[in-house]
Amino acid sequence: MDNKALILGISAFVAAIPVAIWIPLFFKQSGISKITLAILFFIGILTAPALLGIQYLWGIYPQFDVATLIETSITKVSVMYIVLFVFFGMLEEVIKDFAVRIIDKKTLAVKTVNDALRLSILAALGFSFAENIYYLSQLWTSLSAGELFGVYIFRSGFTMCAHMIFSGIFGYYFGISKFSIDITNQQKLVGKEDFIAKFISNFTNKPLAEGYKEKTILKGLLIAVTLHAIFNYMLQYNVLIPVILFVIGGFLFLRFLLKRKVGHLVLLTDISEKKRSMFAKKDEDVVLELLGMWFKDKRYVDVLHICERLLERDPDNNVVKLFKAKATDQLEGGNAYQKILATVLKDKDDLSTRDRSVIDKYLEKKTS
Amino acid sequence: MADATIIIEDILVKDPNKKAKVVTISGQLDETNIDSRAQEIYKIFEEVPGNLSLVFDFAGLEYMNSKSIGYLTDWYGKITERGGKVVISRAKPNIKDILQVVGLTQLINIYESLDEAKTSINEGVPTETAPVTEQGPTTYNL
Repeated sequence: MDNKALILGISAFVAAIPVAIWIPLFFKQSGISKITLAILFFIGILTAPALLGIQYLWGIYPQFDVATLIETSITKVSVMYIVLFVFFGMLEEVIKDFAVRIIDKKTLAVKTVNDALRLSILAALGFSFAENIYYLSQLWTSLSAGELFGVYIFRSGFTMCAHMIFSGIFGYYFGISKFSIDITNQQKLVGKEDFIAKFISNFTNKPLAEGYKEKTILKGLLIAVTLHAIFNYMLQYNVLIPVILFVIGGFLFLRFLLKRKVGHLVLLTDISEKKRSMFAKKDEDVVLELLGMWFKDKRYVDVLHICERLLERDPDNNVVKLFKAKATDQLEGGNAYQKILATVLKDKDDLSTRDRSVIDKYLEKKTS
Repeated sequence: MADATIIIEDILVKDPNKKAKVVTISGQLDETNIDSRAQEIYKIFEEVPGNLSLVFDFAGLEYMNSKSIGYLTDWYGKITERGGKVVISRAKPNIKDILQVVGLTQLINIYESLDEAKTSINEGVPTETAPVTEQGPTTYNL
């Protein structure tokens, strides 16, 4: 075996260690098939060389070399770096997202918002795994063992985590955009006006849900690219403490997103298995309107109860599921209702007594 | 504008400290009329500050929108807070269905007949509809 292949092999081996640590943290109970995960990880790996390939093509066709154009046309170095990092951040995020979209298109793996988030994290892991192999093998001869170890630890811990954060956030918004019809319907019922979605919908002459979809994807891309650019910028100027805090904060944010009830909702169901509503459409619309009104009035306990009963009649209604999850998220976040919620969800057999007591409590509170 | 009629009649009760009324609502309660109709019910609360019970007779009620359910919940809260009772009579299956899903049937009893509902208000004392009050029954045609 020649020296280059050996270095590449060792680099790949050590780069695989953090991947083996991160994957169980996010995919232990994901419910996504292992084959799908393996394929996505592999596609994620290929996205890094794809980016290198683009840069290689710029060498052949310099007229398309955007990076050189930025470097030569912006004289102020700090501004040039910002633009450069935004551009590369965008390129990386779009490429990683592309991998998730391919998998979702082929396997319909994204059934919840969290699925999209997790799959994006996996694509990012594949991407940074390949990147780590590249950097480690490149720096093998030029750095001392100690320096190389430092680079390895930093890249495995912080850079890899940073990639997961950027992609995870973009994935989260991709997930939301995928279920834009249900989410737009729910938002309509609570009277939320989304001006940007409305503008995009008018501009593109598409339904409002499509406008919301496009807006959400753009929002996710914008946040991910901005964070990516800030991260790269800080790295460029070696401000390590903020980088570390930035990554820890981002990681906690990802964990928070993954724990939200809304993210766990299974919004993609097989149409052939979809159960018909046992409630007349006109009557159901009245109740949905009421849900919107009471959600807006922050009557989350009532919303939760109505949703429970409504789902008994119409188990596959995604708008009701969204209301329920959002009300639960709100209740878990608020102190006043926390105890009530604990009793609400404890005993399912005692539904009527429980309902009565909770609504009575609510009315007492309201009238006092 | 949808058509909705409200007739308010007194019910005789044995206890002189208590008052009870039958509120007969017919037609369709929707966005075009619910706010003005609701105000008429709130007027009763002003006229009778305490110990008021209401029987909502929904025999002729075909549709109620979300806002009207919100009002009904509020009326229930206000009346029970002041020591009164609220019952519903003769609600159509679709109205009952909505009230059940919303959870109001767990707070407000629904009776198949108006007499049963009146009886429940009077705690077992047989009742009769009061003769027309001084102003007579209030009727609103929209």
